[in-house]
Amino acid sequence: MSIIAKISKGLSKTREKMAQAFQTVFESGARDYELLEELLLLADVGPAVAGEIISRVKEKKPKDIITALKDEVVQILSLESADKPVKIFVGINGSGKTTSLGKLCHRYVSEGKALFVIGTDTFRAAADMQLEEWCLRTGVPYYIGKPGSDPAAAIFDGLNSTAAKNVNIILCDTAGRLHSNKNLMEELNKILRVSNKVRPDQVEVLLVLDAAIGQNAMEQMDIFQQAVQPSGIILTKLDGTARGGVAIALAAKYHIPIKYIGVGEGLEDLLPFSPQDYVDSLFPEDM
Amino acid sequence: MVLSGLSQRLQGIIGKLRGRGHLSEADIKDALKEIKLALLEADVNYKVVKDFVATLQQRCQGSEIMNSLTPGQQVIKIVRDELTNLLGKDADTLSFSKGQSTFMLVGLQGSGKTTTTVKLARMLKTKGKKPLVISLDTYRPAAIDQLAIAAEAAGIPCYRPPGTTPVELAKKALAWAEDSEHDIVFFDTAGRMHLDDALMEELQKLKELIKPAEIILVLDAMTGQDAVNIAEGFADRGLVDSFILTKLDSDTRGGAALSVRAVTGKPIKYIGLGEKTEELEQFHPDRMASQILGMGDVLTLIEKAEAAFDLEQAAKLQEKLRKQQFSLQDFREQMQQFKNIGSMEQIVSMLPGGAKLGKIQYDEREIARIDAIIASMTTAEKLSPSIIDGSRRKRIAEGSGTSVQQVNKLLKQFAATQKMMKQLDPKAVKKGRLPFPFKI
Repeated sequence: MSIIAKISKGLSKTREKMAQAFQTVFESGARDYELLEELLLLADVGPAVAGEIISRVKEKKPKDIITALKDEVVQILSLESADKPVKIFVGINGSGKTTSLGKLCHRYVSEGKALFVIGTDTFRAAADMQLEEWCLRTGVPYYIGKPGSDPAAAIFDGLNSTAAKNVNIILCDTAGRLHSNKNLMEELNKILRVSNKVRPDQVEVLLVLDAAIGQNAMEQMDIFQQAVQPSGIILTKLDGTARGGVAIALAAKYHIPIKYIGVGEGLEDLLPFSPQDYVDSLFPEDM
Repeated sequence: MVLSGLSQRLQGIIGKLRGRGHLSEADIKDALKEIKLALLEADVNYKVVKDFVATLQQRCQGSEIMNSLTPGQQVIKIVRDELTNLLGKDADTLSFSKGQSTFMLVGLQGSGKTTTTVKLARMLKTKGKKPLVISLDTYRPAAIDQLAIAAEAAGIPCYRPPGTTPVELAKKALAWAEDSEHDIVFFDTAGRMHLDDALMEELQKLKELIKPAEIILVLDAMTGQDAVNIAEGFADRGLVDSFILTKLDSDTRGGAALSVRAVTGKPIKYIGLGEKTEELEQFHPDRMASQILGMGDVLTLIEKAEAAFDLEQAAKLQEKLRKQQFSLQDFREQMQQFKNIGSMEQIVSMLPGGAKLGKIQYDEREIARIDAIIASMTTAEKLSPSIIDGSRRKRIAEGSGTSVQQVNKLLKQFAATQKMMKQLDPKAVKKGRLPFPFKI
């Protein structure tokens, strides 16, 4: 299956809704921008960004609204950030950190990269076993902190243990935490501080977000941004009915690129994010 | 606090109405428009908002308002009533069948099914039931271990049936549970998307097999506009009897909480408010509505206080107060019980107008400090603080890692509390009408 086809499949529900909506816009013939705005809102794009997109499209007075809209969105989504070898996965409970990490292991291993995994979720029951299982399945060496131990110590030991090894990429899992829990956010900040000390300039933080959470993603981003400055986003569970429109809102406001998207349960279903592919699959071609 | 964003906006709108002697139709129209926007921004489903506002409008137009002496208050009452209706009217607990009751917990990946399973079992155990938990999640790595470990930590028995498919597991588990002493059996299922036909059919098979008293859909309170689709996806296949909303402690906008009941007609029964096993509460629509509108939730606070305070200890304390023997040791115990109710922030959020205070910056460590200071005293000092002189103060400060000033502050506070106690009417004390014996 090609990448576009895969994303398209994942986003099929989104597409259906959008296609219907665009159809209506077209049939109205009157360039019904208000309706278009409402559609973007329903797709979880959020009021501010939806308004901005519409006004920019309007300004261009395009012949073809859809193409203009697509271009606008691609432009918003086209962001870059440097790739760093140590990647710390953060996010709220149940956003899909460990699963994304497991899938990413699979991807990197098949690309022939030398990997190492560090587990620091010492809080949730069986979190260590879940991660271990992924490592065993993908054949990646790992260091996982013992249940109940200090997560910052786990990452310290884990990173130090890689000093003599020949690894290109180190993936670090963390315990899920709600952004509203100040103490846990501080714990996360400590994990980052410790990592930066062991591997200066080599650490990046990836925020794992559930696509279904809608505008709540903005608040999460806000607080994770203050605590650990993520340099990339992994957007998961796009195979639901979730519209994934929040990706556009996030990119517009925070200028942090989406690096991967999760579109299914399978091992291969974590895909590198490409703005053009994403937009093409979000807005159907045949309208 | 729960749904603080929405709460603050609605309170702002309502504040403008409160105490007005006269309300024009335009005033009401403006207020309704603002309420609509506030709900939309909170990710409440579009259709639900439309219906809700239409109902409000209808009721506000009636003579109810115009003939009222306090039209502002009347509008607020209507908003509160309708908000309660939207959330579900009455509080509801699990419905049990005769004999052994089985429950299935279903939901999307990461919504919190396993954690909630253990929380529910623990709650019922404290009510004298004999719950058993069983995981049917053969998909996610270590999911079965997760339930087993979390259950063990909470002192809940967990059975691990042999087998490789959920149906197989369920069959074995049912056979095993039948002969056991357990009156309640919870089945934790694998997370699944409501669009995944194969997995949804599997759930239906499980339903036929298990014949649960209830299927509980565990839903992440942070779900946005999608909440309604998820709820309908499960409901359309007959796979929802009630909801449990999780992660409500997340400052979520609350769209899911306000939408699912209206769309499916199924009640929200419990809400998850934290990572700890005891952080599951019964859902009270009226209290939630009050809390959202800033009217506080004193009922819950009282219940929590009752649960946290030890009756026997309270009786002993009364006796001491009567005889005026309240010591620093008692002071410390009181403080610890108070801490059991919840964090200062949680307590304040339940008080009327508490939400308006916003995020109070209260140092939770203060209690720990007081605790340390009292712990560093000798028994004699605790019983009669008057013997604490300069050198004792210094020793206590060093022992507790605080300063002499802090020790002084505590002693002063305690003296003031004692004085207050002495002024109490002894009859009131005997009857148990007690104010909190200390001020923080």
